Amino acid sequence: MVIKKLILFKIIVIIPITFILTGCWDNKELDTISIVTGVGIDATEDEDKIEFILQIERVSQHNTSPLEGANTNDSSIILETEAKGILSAIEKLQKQVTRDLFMHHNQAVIFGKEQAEKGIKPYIDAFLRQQDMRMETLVFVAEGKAKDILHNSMEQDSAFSSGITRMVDATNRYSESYSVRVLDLVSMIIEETTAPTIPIVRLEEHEKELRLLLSGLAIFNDGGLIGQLNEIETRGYTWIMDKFKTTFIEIDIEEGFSNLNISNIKYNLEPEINNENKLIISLEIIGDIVISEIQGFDNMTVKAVTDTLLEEGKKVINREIQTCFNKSKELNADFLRFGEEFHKKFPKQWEEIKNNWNDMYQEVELSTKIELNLIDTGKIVNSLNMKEEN
Amino acid sequence: MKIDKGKISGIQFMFTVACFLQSSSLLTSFFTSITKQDSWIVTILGFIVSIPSLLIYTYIMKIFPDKNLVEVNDIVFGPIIGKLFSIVYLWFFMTLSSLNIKDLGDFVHKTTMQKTPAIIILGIFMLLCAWAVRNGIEVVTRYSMFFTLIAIFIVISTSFLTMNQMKIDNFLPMLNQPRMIYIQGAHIISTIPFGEVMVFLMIHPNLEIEPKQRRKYYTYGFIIGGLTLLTIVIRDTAVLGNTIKIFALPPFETLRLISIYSGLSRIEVLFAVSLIMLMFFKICILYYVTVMSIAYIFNLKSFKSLVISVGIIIIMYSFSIYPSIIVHMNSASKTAPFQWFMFETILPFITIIVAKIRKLPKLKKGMI
Amino acid sequence: MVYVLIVFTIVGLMDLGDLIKANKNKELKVTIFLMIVAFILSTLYVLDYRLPSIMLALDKFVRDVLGLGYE
Repeated sequence: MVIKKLILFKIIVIIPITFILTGCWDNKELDTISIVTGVGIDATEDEDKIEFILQIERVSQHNTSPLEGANTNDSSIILETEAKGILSAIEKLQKQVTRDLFMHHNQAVIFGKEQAEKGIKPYIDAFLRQQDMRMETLVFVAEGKAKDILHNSMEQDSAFSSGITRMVDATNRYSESYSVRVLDLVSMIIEETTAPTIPIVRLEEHEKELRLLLSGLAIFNDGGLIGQLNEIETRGYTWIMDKFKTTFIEIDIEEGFSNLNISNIKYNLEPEINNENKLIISLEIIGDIVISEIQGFDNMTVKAVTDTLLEEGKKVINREIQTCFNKSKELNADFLRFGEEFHKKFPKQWEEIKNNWNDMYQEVELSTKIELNLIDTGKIVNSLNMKEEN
Repeated sequence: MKIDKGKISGIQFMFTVACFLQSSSLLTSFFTSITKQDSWIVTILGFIVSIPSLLIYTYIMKIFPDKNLVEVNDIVFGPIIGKLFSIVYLWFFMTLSSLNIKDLGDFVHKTTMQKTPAIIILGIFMLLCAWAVRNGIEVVTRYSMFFTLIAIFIVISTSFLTMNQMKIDNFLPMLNQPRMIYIQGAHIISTIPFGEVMVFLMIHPNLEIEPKQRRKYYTYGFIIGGLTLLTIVIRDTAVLGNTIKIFALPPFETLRLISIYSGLSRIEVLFAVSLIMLMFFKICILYYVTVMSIAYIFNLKSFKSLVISVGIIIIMYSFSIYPSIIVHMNSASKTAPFQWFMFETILPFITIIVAKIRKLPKLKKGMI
Repeated sequence: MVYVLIVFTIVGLMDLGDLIKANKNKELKVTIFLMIVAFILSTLYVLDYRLPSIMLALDKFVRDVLGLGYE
């Protein structure tokens, strides 16, 4: 009986010890760390150096009321320093904070536009190598300086990084081209002929308040930023890369104006090399259309209207695709990953093609086939302006 | 003449072999950095290439059903040369133990506990292993089923959770790389994960099933472990695509990418948990085999007193074995396959040949 | 260094006591031999002296002498 009690006593002592002491050498208590939520990299006048900016989320005792609108700068701190490498910058900043910098919760990495033009590839290595930098961190290019973007916060979310991450998540429900993680960026950089793309964030003045926007994509090659895509070109990019989940097609013709919602998009991209060794990409898109809004189209029957709308819809999509493709030829940057498509399907010929890719890319032809099926028209079928069917 | 009287059942043995193989599946970077998107092909090839070795081991298990490897060496080669062979095997087992514990220590030290000195991590770990080994083989393999099933569960559930990030064209272009890469990859896989099951030749006398059935359970365990490895390789290639070649721990990175509505993320802790669990098992087995080899070489009657000293030697050896991780990866992908091949295939094969020549074992009625 | 001595005394007391009582001479000899080896290795580690790596020497042997090894 006594021995049993002794054993029980030992067990009762040992179990809490294992819970408390495990890893105690390395414990990181919440009040000893500074949680970094955003990282910015800007260019400086010095050729070699970068300006490194950290946004740190303040873990405060009481919640600042989120309804206070303008007074939202309280909950995040911005630190800046200049250094040649990312880890040197972090070391320098470590001396300015009272706590350990904790990078695991970093949400976004922003490159200033000037730095992007100089080149981002040297700085990606730190993000890959360090144990505490994660692959799912989103990457952005700032229109202007990254510092300005990080300093300004958004309306509903107090800190920039969580705000922009939520914005990207929300956008992801429609189109995935604005979400580029470090992993995706690295994957694009590894492919030899692909030009990486990164979404651009911009600040817009809006009645004395600054708002953030996602606008367009930045195109890079080995050296740095070489071009940008505007709205329409970005839409074309999203069509070609099959990144739309559902979107609206705007149709603006003489007879009237309409908005079509396309969803359930089926996509097929086939690279081909025909007999004269010409490289052709055939793109096929099939989508379901729901009419969302009709303005005008006076005195036409429903059938005429829907046929026109489908025709025009195809033209619009085609136009967007072609605009994007022409831009890529203009920049001579294969950000559509066509090179990789050829690599995957024709590995043997790829060895010869890839050496001349810069020239051969100009010769690539894109042939599109788009099919739209009307499945629904909303709550009403005939618009108020249309002729009634007999 | 058995030192350890523990008994293992057939199913336990099967799960032991499976668990042993699964623990190597977490260190896939040895060959994924070489074979990149064709790693799954190379895994299947390696599996096929290691089947002859498996046949060699089961044959030895069949003709010497109650003698472990050291005793077999004594019988086949005579006392002096047999002991020499056994000492060579002993070095092999000790190196394997040290390499594995070094891998584990490095992983824990570099990813989660940077400030804790490595020796404390290893010391505490080995203390637990020593306790298990001291109590004999039955204790060591008791949890094999539990660990194997947990590992399988983690692999399958993470495969489902990453399915939305998998892309089929990450496997293309297929079979496009220089032929030497496939040979090298298959060689690495057949020796580093799969060939290490030869250590079970030291344990098989403790099996309480008939010799004929041992082959069945051994093979099943082998297949389970191989399938787990294949699943992990396929999952990582599909998710990571062409970035798989740059990561030192591809399954770790795959698990880091899982996040469902920011409620269920940071799953890589499961990787750490399963790695520690499986490595514990593997190191216990290797540790046990090392201690047993010493005990049988010196014809001892009990092994318990050797355990802690051997443990300390293994830890110290692991510090000197490779100066850095780069040298380790270099050696593992380039020269280690040949060395291991000698220990895992050539030496047992020589044993069989000499046994056949000397017409051993002296046949009793109804043996073969 | 002190820790090394403490650990080895504890280990010694634990294991050797039983062996001497039961008079198993062979086990005693082997155990003491292994303990000495472990003690030497630990002391070397504590004094920050790292042994040369056997694996590297074997690698060199396999690569240069036998000519095996992938690029």
